[in-house]
Amino acid sequence: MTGMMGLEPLKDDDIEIVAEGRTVKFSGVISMRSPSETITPFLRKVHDAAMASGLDVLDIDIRDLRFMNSSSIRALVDWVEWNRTAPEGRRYVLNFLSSAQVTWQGTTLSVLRALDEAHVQVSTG
Amino acid sequence: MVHLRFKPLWLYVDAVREFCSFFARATFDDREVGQRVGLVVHELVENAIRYGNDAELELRVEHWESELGVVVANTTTEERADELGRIFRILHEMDPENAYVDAVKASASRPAGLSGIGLARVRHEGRVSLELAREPGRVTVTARGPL
Repeated sequence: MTGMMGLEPLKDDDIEIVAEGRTVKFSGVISMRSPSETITPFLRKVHDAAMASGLDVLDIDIRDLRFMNSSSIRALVDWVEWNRTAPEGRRYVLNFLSSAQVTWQGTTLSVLRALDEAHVQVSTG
Repeated sequence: MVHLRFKPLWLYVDAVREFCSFFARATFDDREVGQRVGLVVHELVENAIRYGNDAELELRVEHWESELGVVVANTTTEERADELGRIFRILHEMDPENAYVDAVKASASRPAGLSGIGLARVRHEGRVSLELAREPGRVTVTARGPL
């Protein structure tokens, strides 16, 4: 229950994703052409680490994520699906922390929540 | 408001989105309008680059009284234009929110790297209607919505 340790942050030109303890923090802009080559594998490591740690809730702080293209939203969809289809007892709650100042976050997260309402939460600050 | 013609290269996508977003925000003194314009521009330009050919891309951001429009035109093959027409028909079978939910759900079963949610997202999050116009070898997508 100590959270995620030993995951190197993902840093690129405009983005940073840091997984530490019980929080994954996104910042910048994610608009790459092929997120399945970078974002998706990183999120898979986060997911595996979260399950291995036995976390009940993982906070996903996207308040400083100014923009995300639809190709990258697919990576979040995959994440929700990995968790939804994980063995009973290893699933955790993806608790998204969003900003009311960034309009795409509210609409996209409400749609993501529709994929697995039991394990996707959205908190807006 | 804005009229750009440029070679459809990926390296321009972020620059074009940011420019149009800041331009709309400054023009209307409205952060939310700026963000919506940026989103619509990004997704339509990204689609044009992914699925068009490399000849030319034309982008216009227009303003009519209480409405804003984003118009993206690009050259493409007839096969791609047919596929876009099919996507538009499916998209308009549902209201914007449900079409977006449906597209997101369907994206999970697509091959890695493909989302197929861009147009549904534009319609719902951008709060715009979408129209497709075709000429031989060229498609024009027009997004129109309230300020």
